[in-house]
Amino acid sequence: MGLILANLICFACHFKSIINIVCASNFFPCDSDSIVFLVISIHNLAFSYNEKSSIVFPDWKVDDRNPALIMGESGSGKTTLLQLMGGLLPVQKGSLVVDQIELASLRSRKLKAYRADHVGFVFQGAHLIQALNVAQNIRLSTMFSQIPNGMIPITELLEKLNLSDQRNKSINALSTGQQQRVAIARALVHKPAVILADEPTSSLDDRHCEQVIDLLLETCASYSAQLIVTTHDRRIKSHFSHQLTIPTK
Amino acid sequence: MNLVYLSYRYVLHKPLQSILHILLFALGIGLMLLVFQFSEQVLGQARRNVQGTDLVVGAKGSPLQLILCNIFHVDFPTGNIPLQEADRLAKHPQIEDVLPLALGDSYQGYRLVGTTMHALEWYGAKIEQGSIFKNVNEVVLGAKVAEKLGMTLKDGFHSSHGFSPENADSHEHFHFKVSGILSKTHTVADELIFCGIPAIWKVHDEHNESLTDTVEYVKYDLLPGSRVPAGSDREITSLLIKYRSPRGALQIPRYVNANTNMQSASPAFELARIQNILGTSSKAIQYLAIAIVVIAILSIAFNMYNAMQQRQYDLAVMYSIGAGFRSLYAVLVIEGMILALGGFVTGLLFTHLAIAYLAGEVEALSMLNTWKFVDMEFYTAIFSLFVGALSAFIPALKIRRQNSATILASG
Repeated sequence: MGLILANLICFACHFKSIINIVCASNFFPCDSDSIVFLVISIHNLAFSYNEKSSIVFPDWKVDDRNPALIMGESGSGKTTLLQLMGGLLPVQKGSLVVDQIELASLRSRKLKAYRADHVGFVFQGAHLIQALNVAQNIRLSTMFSQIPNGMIPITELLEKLNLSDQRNKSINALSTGQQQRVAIARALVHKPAVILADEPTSSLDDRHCEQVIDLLLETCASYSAQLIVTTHDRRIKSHFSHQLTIPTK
Repeated sequence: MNLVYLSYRYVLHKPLQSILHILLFALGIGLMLLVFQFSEQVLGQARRNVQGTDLVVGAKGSPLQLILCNIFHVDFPTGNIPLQEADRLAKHPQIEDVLPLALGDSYQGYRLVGTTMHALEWYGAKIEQGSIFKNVNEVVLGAKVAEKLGMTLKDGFHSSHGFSPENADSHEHFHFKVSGILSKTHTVADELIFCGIPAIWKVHDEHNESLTDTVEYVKYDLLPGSRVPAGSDREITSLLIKYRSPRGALQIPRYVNANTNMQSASPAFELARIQNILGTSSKAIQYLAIAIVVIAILSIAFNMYNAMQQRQYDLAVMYSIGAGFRSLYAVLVIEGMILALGGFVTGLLFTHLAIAYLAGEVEALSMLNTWKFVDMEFYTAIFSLFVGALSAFIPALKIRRQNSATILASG
């Protein structure tokens, strides 16, 4: 009964507020003692690509900004969860809070603004735009964000990621490792609160795997962005204090 | 960084392909503009030439030839008509004004036109330098003649018989002198050399001593009248006529047919016939131009469509950084517009270079003004932008909602 009531209040909230800052206690009546702002909260979340099957995600909450890991076999839906968190897919059912924002309440325009300002993506491949050079690829991320022009830390990021000499080079002139570092810079340049990395190490050998994870952890920390990584790669497990395993059906 | 810059980078990213698209587009647009320029400039001048002359009366022959010779000064005369007869016709009550012409000689390809001082008024020309012809050996040069031949006041020349510049048969015995140069009229008058009618008589008829060296009597008010000696066998080439009222159009041609041994032709009617003939071929060129533009657009569209396979990742990345679908479409649309605009500008340049070349090389087209811009060019620019935007429509169809997430998920 209490849960139903809480949900009703929650729905009323969705319609009223512009950006919902959801108090955790609304969702978890049992945790009534804490008024902790949740960085991640998954509750009753499910997503279906078609009518036949749907992915049901386990509930999860993360209440500090330490890096988080989402584990699961291929096809378990971990990438889908990451894309839900990044606002690439709409929340169909249940509740999903990222960086204190209830994504279920965001519709297309606000979802767009959310993608532009709050999250940065590191995809499995670098997916850099060939028509642009290194600095332009990084700057691209700020195109739709609110970040003021003077605060775009391109030079700083290039230095930090050891790419200063590559600044005006074409993407084709870079090694795969360099391309991935550009992709990391692109994810961070608009200073998002959350970095979502999809299988960043799956195709790398042990040495490079370690390097990439260290780099991600380090740069995210220095920009105080929370890192959320999906993987099936057990090598990187030890780096993450928050872990969620999505069960295979 | 904005969408226009991004589109621009995409255009630069495949330079050869972009150049090919731009050239193809430019070819179509260039042909289209060339047709517009021709119909504006050539037919525009033709219309100006026709203005002010309601009817041409001359020797019997082809009416088209009569007009081409006496209005446009391109064909040969149909023959001569007796001055007496022209004089009688000029007195018809429905005729307000006439201008007699005597043709037959040229200098360096420019036609010598024997007429009266009234010609200036008729062609809307003014004396820019010097004065009108007062003596039988004096001529007034059209603006273009003076410019092209580099002649100034007091220069002299011998005319040659016929209209061809290659004709060496010059009338050495008669020496012309430039007494004046006309202002530009943008009509055929710019390319004519005017003199008195007696000068033409004198050039062709060495032994006639009865002509005085003054051309006083060829002033307009003196021509159709008493100073033409009765029984004179003098001839002229044609008489240009202006009606007093629209009724003249009904009466005069019939009068000429019934009562004289001459023929009449209406410049407006003959010009319409010429336009009809030219219209067909310019239509054909226009259709060809449109076909080329369509091919250019399709080639841009299909190329973009093929490129979408690679571009889908780019679009997905754009989507992930906060671009809406409208922005994704915009990148493609602006890209198409940049290519089309590039094609238009190149085509415009081609057209005007072609006009400059033709005006310099082809005598009959020397009236073309290279840097004259016509209204249609402005509309063509807008049309280009529109079809450029349209070319992005097919590839844009490939962007679907939901796609971006799945594309990125696929690796």
